Amino acid sequence: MEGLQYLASGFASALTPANLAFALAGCVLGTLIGVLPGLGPAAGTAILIPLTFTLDATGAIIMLAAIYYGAMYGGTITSVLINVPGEAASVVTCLDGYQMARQGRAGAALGIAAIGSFVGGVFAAAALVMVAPPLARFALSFGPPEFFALMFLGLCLVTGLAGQSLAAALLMTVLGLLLALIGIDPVRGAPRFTFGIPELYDGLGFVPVVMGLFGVAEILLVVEAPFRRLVETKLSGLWPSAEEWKRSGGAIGRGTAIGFFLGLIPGVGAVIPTFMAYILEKRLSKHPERFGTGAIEGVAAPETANNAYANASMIPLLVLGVPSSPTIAILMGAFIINGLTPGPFLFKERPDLVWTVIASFFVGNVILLVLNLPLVGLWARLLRLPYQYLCAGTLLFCIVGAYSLKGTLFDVGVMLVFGIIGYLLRKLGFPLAPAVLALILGPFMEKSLRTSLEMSAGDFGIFVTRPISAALLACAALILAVSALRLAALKSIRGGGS
Amino acid sequence: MKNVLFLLAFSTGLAFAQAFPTKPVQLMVAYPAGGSTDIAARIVAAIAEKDLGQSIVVLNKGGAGGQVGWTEMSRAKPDGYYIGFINLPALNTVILDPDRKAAFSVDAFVPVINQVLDPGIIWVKGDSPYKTLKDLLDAAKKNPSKISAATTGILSDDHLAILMMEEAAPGALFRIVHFDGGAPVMTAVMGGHIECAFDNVGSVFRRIRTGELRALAVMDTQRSPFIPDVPTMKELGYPTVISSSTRGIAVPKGTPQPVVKRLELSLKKAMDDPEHLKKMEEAGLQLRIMVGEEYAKYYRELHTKAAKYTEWARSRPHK
Amino acid sequence: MPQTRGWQAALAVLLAVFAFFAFESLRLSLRDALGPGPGFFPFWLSVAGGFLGVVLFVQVSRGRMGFETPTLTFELRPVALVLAGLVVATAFLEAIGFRLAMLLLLPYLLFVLGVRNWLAMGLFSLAGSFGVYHVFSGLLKVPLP
Repeated sequence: MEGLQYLASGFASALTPANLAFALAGCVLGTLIGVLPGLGPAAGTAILIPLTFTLDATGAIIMLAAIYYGAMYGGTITSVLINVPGEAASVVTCLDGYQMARQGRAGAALGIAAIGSFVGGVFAAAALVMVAPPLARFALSFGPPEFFALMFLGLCLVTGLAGQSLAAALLMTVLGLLLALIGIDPVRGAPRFTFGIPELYDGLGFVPVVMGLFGVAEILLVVEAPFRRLVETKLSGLWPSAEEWKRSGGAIGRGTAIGFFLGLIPGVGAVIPTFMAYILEKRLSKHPERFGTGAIEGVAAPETANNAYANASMIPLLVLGVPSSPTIAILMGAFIINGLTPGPFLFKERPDLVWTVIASFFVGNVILLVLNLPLVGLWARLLRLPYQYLCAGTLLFCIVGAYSLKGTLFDVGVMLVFGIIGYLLRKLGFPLAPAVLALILGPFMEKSLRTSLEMSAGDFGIFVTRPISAALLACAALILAVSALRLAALKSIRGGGS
Repeated sequence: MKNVLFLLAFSTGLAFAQAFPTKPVQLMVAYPAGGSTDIAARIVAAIAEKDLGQSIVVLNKGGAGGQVGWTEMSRAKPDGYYIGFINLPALNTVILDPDRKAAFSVDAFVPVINQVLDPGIIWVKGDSPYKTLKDLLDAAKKNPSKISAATTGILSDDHLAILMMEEAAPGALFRIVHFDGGAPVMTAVMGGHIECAFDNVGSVFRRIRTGELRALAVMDTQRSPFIPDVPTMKELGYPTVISSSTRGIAVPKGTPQPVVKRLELSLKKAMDDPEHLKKMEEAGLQLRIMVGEEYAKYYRELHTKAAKYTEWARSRPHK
Repeated sequence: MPQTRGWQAALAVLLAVFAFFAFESLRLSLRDALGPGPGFFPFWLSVAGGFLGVVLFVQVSRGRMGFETPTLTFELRPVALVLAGLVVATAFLEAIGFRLAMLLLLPYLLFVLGVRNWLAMGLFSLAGSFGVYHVFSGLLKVPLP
């Protein structure tokens, strides 16, 4: 297959000192950007675009791509250490990763995240080489109705996060959906629930809300018990135990698959694969109640999915010239500034460039692993600082993060408000994850729904007449039915109380 | 006495202008980093700051299709240290749409200099059955409201362009489907979910060159230098269907004239600079520099035009 | 039982929130020429939320929540102090600038949480205010007030 031949020469050029340096720089910068709050891969990449004016095309793209998936890992670090997701996709990692840190297992959490990311990334890159074009074309067949069906399916999976009270989880989901609807109505352009504040026109903003619900609220809870230590038990080992390895294996495999397939579909976003991988693991587990208390699979699955997604989402860009997300759009901008059009013709015109970039994905994943694994110990030890400094530091972190998103104080305010809300909800035992998932999915769902209806001129049948969306909706219905049955069964086992 | 006062005012103004700028100038872009407005802004800022003598810092204040950034600019102190990009007709429709409750009116901004003019374009997939504009319009007439047409946003220039097209070709009615920006439009049309797209040249000309996409018409009075084979609306017999997205720099109302002039000079110089021309060409952004009064006139005329179509868009039965 | 009271209060607030959304949705149109209008989904979601809220309320009042909640204890003083500090700092963030605001906030937080090591406190606050400002504004070109 000529692909392999190209790949070989791609490696040769990817491993030149210059390109290696770019990949390294990208990974370092990316991890830093992921760790630093609020910046996120999008803003970070954009800031670095001027740099690429001076570099040659190949080097620039290698570096930007490295920044992108480096940032995915960077976001994990803060999720695990201080329960603040460095960027959106790391939210799910907070659920179990932070709990693991509380138990002194931060090293293991970060370690498995690094390894899972590596596996996911390499696999996705390999798949890119082998099956990209036909798969990419399949991904194009996802139109607005299919998107809606997919998101709806994702939301139904929230029943898997239900914990012990389905009603509470559903309530939180509804709340999240409503909050997601704040902002300018995507179809009519009329502001909804905005009280005339222009900053709300784009909605609450996922990052400030999550930073508040997870980060600030957590600090408030910690602060309450003055002698509570942030890390409750001694730091026990920096490496996952043999048993943890065993449990993570399946999680990594499944996470890779989910991340990869969803990465192919332009527009899905990084958060959905992580949620789906997490929920899938929980459902398949023999001990689902461990999730949320520090189950290592709960870190392995989303982290792997995360990185598999990041690498796979390059596929629509390279093969079809379609950016999957705003961040990739920036990457595409880098191509364009350098006079290149990503897409099938780029493969034909400049195979040297394309294959070098692809080869550098492999290289980059290796670099990321090598870079981050030794640092795991360092990060984990950071938690040994007296808790007051960690708290103050986290709050500082959050303020900077919330402000630097758009440069307005408003986001900081939102974060504080949701910090209070999160604190209260946590005290009462409400599950936050369904609300967060709904908050992310809400806007997309509504947009897809209404765009679909525009396409069909108001006919709801469009969702069932198209094969893919019908299939997805059928799955969703199945999941709901299964959940309802399970719950009924549980209730009757508990002795007919309801 | 009057002469003395006049001289005093004039020289003070001159002195002020010569003193300006004494600290960095903020150039606001009402869209997130990485978009084409942002890229063009950064290119011109990097060059203009040399002449201006102070650095020009690009500030991204994205949100609500530009409304957040423009709201802030309208409230900024008019001392020349806060200037920003205005995108037309996006700005116009934000002002004109009563639902948006814009906190500013058309007079809130003084246009200084326009940079980019990205003409509208109608394109279809490369293997689409529509080979010419006539094919598309015939289909739209034969099956009114069945042929789907994508736009990059409600009340965007694309949206208004569709209405202009329908006005110029009576009987042709499209089923308008709005997306959020260029990328979803690309996916939707390439995936075969939508039949055609009303878009801008800058976003698609490269793919037109490669043949992946086919352009049916360019909504300008002259052919695009990037894709010279595509006929214009004028040539095809629809001279009224002229639409484009322009991006230029404006200042808040009340900024002193000498300051405005100073900014105008530096920016114009930067835009004429060969480095600027080269970078903009590489980025695929067509320049149409309009300065001062010419730009202000364009601004007002566009506002009137947009008013008509905005009204129509709101009352059109979407069926 | 404090737990039940707490839950009931929270649910009451949530129900009020849903009612608000429902009310606002009705002011936007529920249906128009092209199917559902801007108010359609928020309205039905609010209704669903209200329903769930009521169900939970009943469950809670009957003492059967279906799961254990941690006992509700409140040690409000440190929380309130921290929050107050945050709110004040945020309010003045743009007025007095990031560096000054953080220089004041950080020692305050540390003090409230019990730190008495002045040197460490001072170093930390300097790093957190001026240090962070320099990194973000200078190196990363991310504007902080």
